[in-house]
Amino acid sequence: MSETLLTIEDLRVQYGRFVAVDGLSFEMRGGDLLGMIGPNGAGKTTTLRAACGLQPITAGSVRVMGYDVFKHPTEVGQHLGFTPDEPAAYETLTVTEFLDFIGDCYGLPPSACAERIDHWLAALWLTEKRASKVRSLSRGMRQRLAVARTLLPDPHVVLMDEPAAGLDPGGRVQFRQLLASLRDQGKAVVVSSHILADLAEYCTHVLIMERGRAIRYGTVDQVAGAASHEHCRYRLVLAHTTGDVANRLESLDEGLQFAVAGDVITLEYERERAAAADLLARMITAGIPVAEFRPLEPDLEEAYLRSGIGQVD
Amino acid sequence: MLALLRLHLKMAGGPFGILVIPGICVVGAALIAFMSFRAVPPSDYPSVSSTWLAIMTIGGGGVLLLLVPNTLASAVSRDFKCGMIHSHRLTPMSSVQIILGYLAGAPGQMLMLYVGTLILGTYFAASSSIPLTVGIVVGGWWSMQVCLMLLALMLSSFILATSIASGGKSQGFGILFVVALGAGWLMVMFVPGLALILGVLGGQVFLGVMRMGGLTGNGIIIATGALFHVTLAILFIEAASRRLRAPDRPLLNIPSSLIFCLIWLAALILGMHFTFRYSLTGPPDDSQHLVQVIASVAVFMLVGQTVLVAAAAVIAGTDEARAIGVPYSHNQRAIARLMPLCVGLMAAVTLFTLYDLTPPQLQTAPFRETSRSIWRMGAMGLALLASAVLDGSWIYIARLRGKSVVWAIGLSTTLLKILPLLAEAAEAIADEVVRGDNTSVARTYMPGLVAGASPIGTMMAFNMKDGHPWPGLIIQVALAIVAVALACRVRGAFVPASRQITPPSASAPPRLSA
Repeated sequence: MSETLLTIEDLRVQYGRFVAVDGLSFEMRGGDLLGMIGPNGAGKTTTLRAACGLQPITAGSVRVMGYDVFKHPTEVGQHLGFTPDEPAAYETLTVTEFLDFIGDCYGLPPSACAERIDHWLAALWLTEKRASKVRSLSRGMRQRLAVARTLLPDPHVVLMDEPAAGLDPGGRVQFRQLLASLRDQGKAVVVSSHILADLAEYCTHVLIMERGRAIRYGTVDQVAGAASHEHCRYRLVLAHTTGDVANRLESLDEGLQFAVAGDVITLEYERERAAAADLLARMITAGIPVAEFRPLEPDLEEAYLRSGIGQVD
Repeated sequence: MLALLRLHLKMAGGPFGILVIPGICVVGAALIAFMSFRAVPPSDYPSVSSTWLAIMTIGGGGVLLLLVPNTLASAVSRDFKCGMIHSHRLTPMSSVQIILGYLAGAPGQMLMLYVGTLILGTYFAASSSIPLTVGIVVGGWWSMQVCLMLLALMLSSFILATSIASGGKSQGFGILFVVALGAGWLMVMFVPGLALILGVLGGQVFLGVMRMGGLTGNGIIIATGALFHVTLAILFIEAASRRLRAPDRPLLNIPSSLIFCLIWLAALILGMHFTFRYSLTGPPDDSQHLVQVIASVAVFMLVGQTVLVAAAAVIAGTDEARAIGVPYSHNQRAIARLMPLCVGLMAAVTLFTLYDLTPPQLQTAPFRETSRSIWRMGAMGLALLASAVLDGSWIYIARLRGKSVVWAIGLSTTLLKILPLLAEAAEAIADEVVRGDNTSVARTYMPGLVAGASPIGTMMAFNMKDGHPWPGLIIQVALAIVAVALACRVRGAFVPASRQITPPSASAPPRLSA
């Protein structure tokens, strides 16, 4: 079993009297890729900033490779990389000059630094922009540069705050592959994102946050499975469109939650098969022309919606 | 540190870029100087050299004292805006390396410009007609430049520390800085110790050179001032480094602020000592001396606020820890709570030492009477103690309520230290007017009755004929007690005894990777 790379214990961050993060604990080992989900203001960015030592904490502790991030910042700097949501760079430098400077800060020998710069520029589709000034880069290019800056020193723990924001569809696909490769290299990666479908694809763990607290935490399967422990979403296809289908469904069960889109209805009901069969029978009795009725596989989106947050920003 | 040095070199356009602008300036100045030499007969060369020496001195001083600190402030501001300051914090560079990188790298071009003035100045000093009593003229020029460099180091460290503390919000800071420096120099006649801190020596040595032979007897003052500048520079660099990684803490922590106060205490006392011995501010009369003593103590009280701010942060931090049920250092809290007393005692020590230093010819009758009465001296000490306790409680309340500490200090200084003095001045003027009218409502002005509510007023009243400091002193002690009670009440609201503390671990999610 690989060693613990990142440990967050009872983390609490307050801004005055406002509690931004409250009692958050988790640890990560090599090969873990944690996706953080939550609405704006849930405390994701604060958690990531605290985890890398940029945000002073009120209580708790954060350790990277066993080093406390606030007591041993220089040691932690050797092992940790962070990509903020707003990419930071010197506007007047070229892409290569900027990465050269970053390598210099980490004490990389010039030849090794040049090799790594070539590698990351190629991996992030920035090779053509190597001589361009940072100020001439688009938002997406800057985001790639920020990722290159984070990965250049080859950190063991990688924290990324909404790294896919600003990337085009091709960039997102490429970025997913990059994260998967970092995970496979044995790094501990934390990514905050609003794109739940992406997270489900490459994350090993998921943390759902609201108002500074963790409301769901576990592997992707555990979180998605926990969401559908008692209830389930069903997909209903009608043989033909019926105008009063909503009224008929409401008459069956006042608490029934459903959404009608043309001849397709998505509804939530008890997971138990007998209950589902009973519902189906009552729908047919009520004259609803059911052509197809099947339960949907649990997913992160569902888990998120069921966690009580109600919306994705 | 070298990474940041190389970065700033690159951002200034590389070695060529960093040299080209200073080079053009220096070559331009040299050309104009050459033409001015050509325009006069050889017998006038020494006087032309003297003029150019003055120009180089002013130019070099301007670059070192104004441009270098402002360049630093701009660099920090730029890095806060583009987020690179946080990027530096994430690297394995230590905080001190980052700060030194800024200090040495950001003003590189300006330093090159200064080196240009240094080279030209050395030439003009060697060919100038100004006789100096200390060494040869080049030695005098160089000693002045060393003073300027040390002063610039201190000011640059200070600007760097404050820029980092303010999150790079330093727009208009340069102007403020120039005004403060100018006002500081003007204040030297009232607070002689400022000469050792604000670097008036640089100016004085300069004036000494211009006056021909003004360096006499100033060697010890120069050395003392230089020592203060270096010590303060180290203190500011250390403070900036700490603040870089702990933006929620005050710029100076308790040990640093205590050292800061001790440096000021020594400077205020030594400044007064040098005034008597070397006539630093000219020969004072007894009234000017009294103003110097009181103003020096008032300045110390202002400097002492740094300790109170650091202590308030520690106490508020432990309150916060207690409120959420996490362990905190009881010793640290106890030490922090003692700080107002410590500041009050240090202010009293400053006052008593300055009294002790006063030569007999400058002692007025009330001054003599006070200095011989243990009660009067004790009462002045009590006023300073009460003032420190009041300020400490006030700053703590502001901190706990999330208000600006600077604003709180400004308000308490204005309302409780300055306003009573102004009110008494107004009363004295009104009394004068009434008495001048010869009306029946004429009354006798009672010095110190109102001003005594301020510690400055108490000190003044004890040294005035027929002064009435006691009522004001009672008000001060009462205000201090009220402030302490208020602080306790605010703290009680922040940390309610009945509050249920839920240990954070009770609600923590499972550790999945275990």
